[in-house]
Amino acid sequence: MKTQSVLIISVFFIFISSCIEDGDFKVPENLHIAETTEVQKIEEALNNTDSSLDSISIKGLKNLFVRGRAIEITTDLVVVGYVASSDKSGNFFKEIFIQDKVANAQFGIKIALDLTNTHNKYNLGRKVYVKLKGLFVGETRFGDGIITLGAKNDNLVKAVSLTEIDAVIFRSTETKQLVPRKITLSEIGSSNIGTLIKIENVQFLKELIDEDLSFTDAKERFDTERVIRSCLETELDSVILETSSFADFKFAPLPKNRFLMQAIVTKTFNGSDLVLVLNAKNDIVETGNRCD
Amino acid sequence: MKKTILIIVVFLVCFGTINSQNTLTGIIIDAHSKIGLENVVIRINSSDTTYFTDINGVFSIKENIKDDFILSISLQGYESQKYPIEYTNEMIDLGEILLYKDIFLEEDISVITLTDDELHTDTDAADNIAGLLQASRDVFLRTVAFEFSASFFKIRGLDASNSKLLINGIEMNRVFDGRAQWSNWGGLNDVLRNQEFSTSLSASNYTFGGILGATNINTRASEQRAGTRVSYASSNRSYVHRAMGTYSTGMLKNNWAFTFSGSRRAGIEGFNEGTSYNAYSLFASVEKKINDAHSFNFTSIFAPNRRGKSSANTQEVFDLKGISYNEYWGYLNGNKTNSRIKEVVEPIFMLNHYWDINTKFNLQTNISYQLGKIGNSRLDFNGGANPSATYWQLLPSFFLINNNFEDAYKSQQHFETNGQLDWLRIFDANSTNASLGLENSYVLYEDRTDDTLIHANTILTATINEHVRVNGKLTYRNFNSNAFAEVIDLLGGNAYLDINNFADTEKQQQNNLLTPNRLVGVGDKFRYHYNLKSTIANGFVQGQFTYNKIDFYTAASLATISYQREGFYKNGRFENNSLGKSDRVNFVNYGLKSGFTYKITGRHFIDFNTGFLTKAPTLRNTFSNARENNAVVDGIENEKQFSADVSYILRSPKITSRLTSYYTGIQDATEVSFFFADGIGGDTTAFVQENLSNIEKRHFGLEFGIEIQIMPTLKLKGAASVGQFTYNNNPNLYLTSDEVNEGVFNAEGRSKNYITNLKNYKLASGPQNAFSVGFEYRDPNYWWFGATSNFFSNIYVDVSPLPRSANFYEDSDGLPFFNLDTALANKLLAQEKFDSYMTVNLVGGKSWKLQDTYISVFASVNNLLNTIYRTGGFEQGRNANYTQLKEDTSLEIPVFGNKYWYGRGTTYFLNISYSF
Repeated sequence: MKTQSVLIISVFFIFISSCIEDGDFKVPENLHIAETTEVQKIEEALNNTDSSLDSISIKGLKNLFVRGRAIEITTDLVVVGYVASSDKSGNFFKEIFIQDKVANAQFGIKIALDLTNTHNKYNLGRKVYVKLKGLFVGETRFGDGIITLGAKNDNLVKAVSLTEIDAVIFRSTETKQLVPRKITLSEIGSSNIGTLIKIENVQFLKELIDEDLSFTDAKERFDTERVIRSCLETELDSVILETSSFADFKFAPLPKNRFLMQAIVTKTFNGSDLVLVLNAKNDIVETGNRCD
Repeated sequence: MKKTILIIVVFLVCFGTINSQNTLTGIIIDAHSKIGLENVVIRINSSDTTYFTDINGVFSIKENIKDDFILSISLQGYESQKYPIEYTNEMIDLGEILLYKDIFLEEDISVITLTDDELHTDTDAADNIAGLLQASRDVFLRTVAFEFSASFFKIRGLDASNSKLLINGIEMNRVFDGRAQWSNWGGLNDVLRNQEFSTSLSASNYTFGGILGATNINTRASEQRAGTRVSYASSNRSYVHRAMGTYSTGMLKNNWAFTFSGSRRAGIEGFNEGTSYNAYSLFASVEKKINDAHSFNFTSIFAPNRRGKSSANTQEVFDLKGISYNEYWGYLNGNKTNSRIKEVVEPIFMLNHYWDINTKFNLQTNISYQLGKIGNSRLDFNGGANPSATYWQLLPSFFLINNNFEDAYKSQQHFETNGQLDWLRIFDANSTNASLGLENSYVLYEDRTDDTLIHANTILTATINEHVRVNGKLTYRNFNSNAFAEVIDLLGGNAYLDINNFADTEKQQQNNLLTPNRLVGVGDKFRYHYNLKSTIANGFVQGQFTYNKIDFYTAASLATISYQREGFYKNGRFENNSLGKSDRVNFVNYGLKSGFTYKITGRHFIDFNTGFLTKAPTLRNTFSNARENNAVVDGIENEKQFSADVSYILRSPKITSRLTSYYTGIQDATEVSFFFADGIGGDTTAFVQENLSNIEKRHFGLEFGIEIQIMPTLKLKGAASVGQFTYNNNPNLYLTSDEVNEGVFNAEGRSKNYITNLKNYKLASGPQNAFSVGFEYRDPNYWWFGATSNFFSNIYVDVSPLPRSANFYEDSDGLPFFNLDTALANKLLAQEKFDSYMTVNLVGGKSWKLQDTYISVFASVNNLLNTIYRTGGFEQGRNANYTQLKEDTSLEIPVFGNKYWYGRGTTYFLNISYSF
C-alpha cells in the first residue's frame, strides 16, 4: 500500500512538472529583420534605374514648399538623411531633423512625428529612408519658416500619427558620428535650418552671467531664449540659444566662460528669429576665459 | 475505517443493552480531530423533539422512553449514524461517539478554486475571506463562499483584515496590510480542511479575533485522515491545470504521524488574457507523541507562486477589446508575456507543542518563522515613452477631444488590431541606446518586499467544569520587511540610470544622493530601499460559559504595537528625512467583547454579540510615502470599531435558518493612496499621496440564510444580504508629493489640510445587496446536482476623496473658479452606481466506491448565462478639480474615465479525485 502510494504520487509529480514560460526575456531574434529587409529593398530599387522608386534630395524636397500650403507628394519618392537632432535631453518634442550629409551638411528638414522619446528609435547620426508618397511638405505653424514633412492639416502639416510612422521611416543599420558644419555667427542663415552646425569663440551675454541665470527661466512655460555673442572683434553678431522648459538641463547654470558649441539651427515658435537648439548640454564645451 | 465504525456500533449496541433509566447522555466528537462537535442534531425516532450537543459535544436527553428506540445522530458534513437502543429503566451513558466526515460532502470543499484566485490582487477589492467559509455549516456563509465571491461580495461590507486567519494558533494576517496572503498556502486544500470557525465576534479558543470572526486551521499530522489522495482539475478561471497529491499515515504505532502534500497549478492564461499561472505547493507535517501529555508537531509549507496580473480598464477600452482584455501582456518570442508578474515565495515553518497538563488544563505553545519574498514586476521607462497600449494619448478618446476624427479612427484601428504591450519596440529602444553606449530607455524590475516574521505564542485552555471554560493567550511577533526595487532584466540594453526624470534639478532627480547617477544592472537594487520593522505583543483572556438555557462568553485583549522605518537611500527630493531611522510609532490597542446564545427551545435560539476594539493602523497606512521618506501620516491614531449583531436561529428537522441584524461603526480610520492628479491647487499636475484620516464608516444590514429539506434527497436553499455601507463623516485630507514649493505643496512637499465631503457616499465594498436561491439534489446513488440563481445590486464605484475637497473648486489663487456652476459640480461629483445583475451557477458530482477506494468527479459552471457585469471600479483621481473634471466628462468618451473590473463570463471547473 505504501509503495503503491509513493509510486502513484511520484508518477503524478513527473506528470505535473510541466513548464510555464512566464519569464523569458531573451532578445528577440526577429527584432530588426522586417525593417532591414525593407531598407535593402529600397536601396536596391534606388540603384535600379528601371524601378519606379526614385530618390530626392533634402534640398529638392524643400524646394517643393509653397508658402501657405501643404504640398502632397504623390509619386514614389524616397529621401535619405541622417538624424541630426536628439530629444534625449528633452529639448526637442515630437520632431526630428534630418540632414543630407554626415559631415558639413548643407540642408536639413524637419519631420513632425507623433512620437516622444524619438532618440531611442531615430538616434543621432542614424541613416534613415523616408518614403514620401502620401506625405506633405509645409509648415506646422503658418509662417514659422521651418519646412516640415508631415501629414496634412488643412494648409499646414501636422505630425505623422504613431500608427503610420513605421510605414514611412525606415532605419538603416548605419549610425554615423556627425561632423557639424563650422560657421561663424554671421554666416548662420535660413539655409542652415535643420542641420547641425558648430560655432567657436562665443559666450553668453554678460548680463545673463552676472545674474547667474540658468538655461531656462522657471516662469517660462515653454522656451527660454539666451543670447550668445561672438568673441571675435570683427564679429559683433549674436545668436539666440533657445531651450525648452522640458529639457533636463533647464535649471543648470549657463556656462560662464568662452566656449564652442554644436547645435541645430531652427526658428522660434512664430518664425521671427533664427535660433540654435542644443541636443545635449555637453554640446557646449568651455574653452577659455571670457572675452569681456 | 468502516471497520472501526462497525466496532463502535457493536460496542454501542452492547452498551445499550445494559439496563438503565430514562436519561440518555453522550459526547459526540470528530473522528479525526477528537474535538467535541457542537450543534449535532440528536433525534429519537419516536419523538419529534430534536436535541443538540453543546460546544463540547455533550448531549443529555431526559425523556420518558417506554420502548426500544432508534437514536439518530446527524450533522451536516458528517455521515449520519443510527443506533438501536434497547429500552431500559436506567440512565444510559453512551460515552464517546465518533462522527466521520462525509466524504461525498467533503469533496465540495477541496475542489473549489476561490481561495486560489486572489482576484484583483493589487487593490482593496482583493478580499478572500470567502475561501474560509466554504467549510462552514452556516447556509448564509456557504452561499457567500460558493455563490457570491465571484462578485467581490464582502460580508457586512468589511475588509478581509477584519477576519483573523490562524494556522495552528498562529495568526497569518500580515503586519503590512492586515490581510492573510492566500498564496502562501494555495493548492494545499487537502491538508487544510481541519478548520474551526467563529463568525463575527463569537468566541474562538485561539484568538480574540476581528469583527468578522476568526478561523483556525489545524495541520496536526495525527488529525489528518490517513490514506492517499490524488486529484486532477481543469478550469478556465485562473489556472488551467491543477494536480494535487496527499499522503497521510495517521498515528503510527511508534507514535509518529506524517502528512505530505504537494500540488502544481499551471496555465498559460486564465479567463483574462495573459494571466499566466505557475505555482507549486509542498507541505509536510510531522507529529511525535512523546506521551499522553506531550506531543510535538512540525509543519512546513512552501508554496512558490507566480501569476500574471490583469489590469482594470476604462469603459472605452472594454468596448474596443472585450471584458477579458488585459493591457499588461504582449507577444515576445512567440509567448504571451506578461510584464506584471506577482511572485510570492514565503515558506512557513512552525513547531507546535501540545501539552495536556491534566484533564482540566491544556497548553499549546507555538513558534513559527516565515521568510521569503513578494515581488511585483513592472516596466520602468525613465528614457522612453509610456509603453502601455492603453496610455491615454494613444486611445481614440484623446483625439476626439479636438474632434480629430481621422486620427481617432486610426488609433482605434491600431488599438483593435494591436493594443498590447509592444515588447519589440522596448527591445529596439534599449538596443538602439546600447549600440551608442547609452543607458536603457526601459527596464523590467520588481517591487520587492523581503519579509521575515518570528512569531511565538502560548495558548492556555482551562476547562474549569462542565459550565466554564477559560482561554488565555500571549503572543509576541517580530516583523522585518526589507523593501526595494530590483532590476529583473535589461531587455536588450546595457544598464539603467537610477534617476527620477520627473524631478526638476539634477539633485532632485537622484533616488539616492549617496550614489548619484548610478547605472544599475540585473540584480541591482535601485529607486528605493528601506526597512520597516514592527514589534507586536498581545494578550487575550476569555471565559466561555455553558448552561441549559444560555451560553455566554466574554473576552478582552490588549496589545502594544510599534512601527519604524529605516531608509537606506538619501532621496534627492527628501534629503533630510529619507536616510536613517524614522521616529518609532507606538500604538496600544485593546478590545472587549461579549455575547450570548439563549435557547428558547431546542429549536429556537437567540444569539447576540457585541464588542468594541481599537486597531492600530496597518504599516501600509502609517507611513505616507515609505518609498521616499520617513514621514508618518499626520494625526495618525488607532481605529475604533464598535460592532453588534443579533440573530434568530431556527434548527428544526426540516428547516435550518438564520436571520441576523448587524451594525458596525468605524472611527478614526486612516488610509493612504497614490495616484497622478491634474489640477491640484488650480493647475499643478503631480504624482501624489493622498492621506486620509479621521475616517468614519457605518455598516448595517441584515443577513438571512435558509435551507429546507423538502425530501430526503432534495434541499432548497436561499440566502440574502441587505446592507448599507457608507462614509459617516467628512474626513481630513492632505496631499504629499515630491513636488516641492510648487502650487499647493510647501518645501516639504505637503499640501494644506482639506476636509473631504465624503459623508453618505457609499463604500466600494462589492454589492451591498445580494440574494441567492437554489436547490441541491442528492441521489442515494452518490451523485448530486445543484443550481443557484444569484442577484446583486447596489454596487458603487470607489470615489476619489480629493475632488470632494475644497481643491475641487479652488483656483490657484485660493478663490473659487469664477465659472463654477454648483448644480453641475454636484452632478459631476455624484457617485456612479453599477447595474444590478443576475448569475446562474451549476454544480454536480458523482462518487464511486471501489473496494476500499473512492473516485469522485465534481464539475461546476459559473455564470452559465454569460452575464456581463462589473465587479468594481474606481475613479482615476486624475481630474482633481472642477475645470478638469468638467472638461473630461463633457467629452463623449472621457479620457480619464472610471476604471472598472468585469466579472468573468461563463467558466467551468472540473475535478477528478482518487483516494485510497
